[in-house]
Amino acid sequence: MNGPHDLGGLHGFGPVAPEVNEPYFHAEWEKRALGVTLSCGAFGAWTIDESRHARENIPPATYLAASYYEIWIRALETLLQRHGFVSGAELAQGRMLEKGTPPKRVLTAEMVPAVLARGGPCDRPLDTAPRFAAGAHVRTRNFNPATHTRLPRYARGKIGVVETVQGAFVFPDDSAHGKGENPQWVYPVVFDGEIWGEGAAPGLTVSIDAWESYLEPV
Amino acid sequence: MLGLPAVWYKAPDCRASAVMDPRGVLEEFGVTLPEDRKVRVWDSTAELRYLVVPARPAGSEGLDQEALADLVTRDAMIGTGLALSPEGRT
Repeated sequence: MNGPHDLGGLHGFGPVAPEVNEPYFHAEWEKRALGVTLSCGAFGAWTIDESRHARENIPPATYLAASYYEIWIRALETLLQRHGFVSGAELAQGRMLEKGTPPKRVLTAEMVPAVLARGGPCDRPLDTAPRFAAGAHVRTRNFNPATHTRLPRYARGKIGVVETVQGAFVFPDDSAHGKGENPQWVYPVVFDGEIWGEGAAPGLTVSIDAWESYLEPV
Repeated sequence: MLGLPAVWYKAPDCRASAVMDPRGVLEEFGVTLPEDRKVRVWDSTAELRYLVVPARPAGSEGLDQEALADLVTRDAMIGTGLALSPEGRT
């Protein structure tokens, strides 16, 4: 979707402001937000792609005014309600009113290190041969779905070159919407001057990682 | 970046400008690249993650692994800084 998360090339946010000591958290509640989000993810009710889509669906004015962990919590409220774990009334009152969906898995403290170490690999075996080889010229598709996609707006309808074949991965555009994993080949595609056009930084190239269905032969 | 990211890494200013004006972003970290240095941006739009290998600093010839590792900073491993020069280390 063309959401507030797709920021590449926007002006006006001001300079990047690195902090001297770079604290991970800027309030106590942010630690809890991280823990609650990871714990609820362990329920196994949604994919990482669905959770990303929940974040990008936050209205733009709210999203851009929110801290990183506020974005997480707002999206988590959406996911918990969508999957029946909490109701809107429970969120408003801050207490349980009815039994929700039983989680498939409940994360306990001693499980956390192993779960985090295992991560959530998204590479999958695929029987079909890759459509493109290194060096192929491709054009990215120009589409504007209201659903999830990992093709940034700045890279749509552009001609680039396939750098290599990286393997096959779960297709987020489907996975975010409960349509299955449907893995596709993923290619780094490099664009040379095509992206930013007139006045682009000289010599700058930009590469994205593109799922096969984002690409058409040129 | 492995582990929890620094806040600037996820903030709109960095996400908006890193793909279009990477030299400008690096300047904000105190890194000025020579004009003839080619800049390539990888926007990690999939689940692939990239490992930054810091460029070997001038004057580091002949240093052993441990001495070289001592020149590598956190910033050099996330692409916002260059490895220290052997003279600058002292």
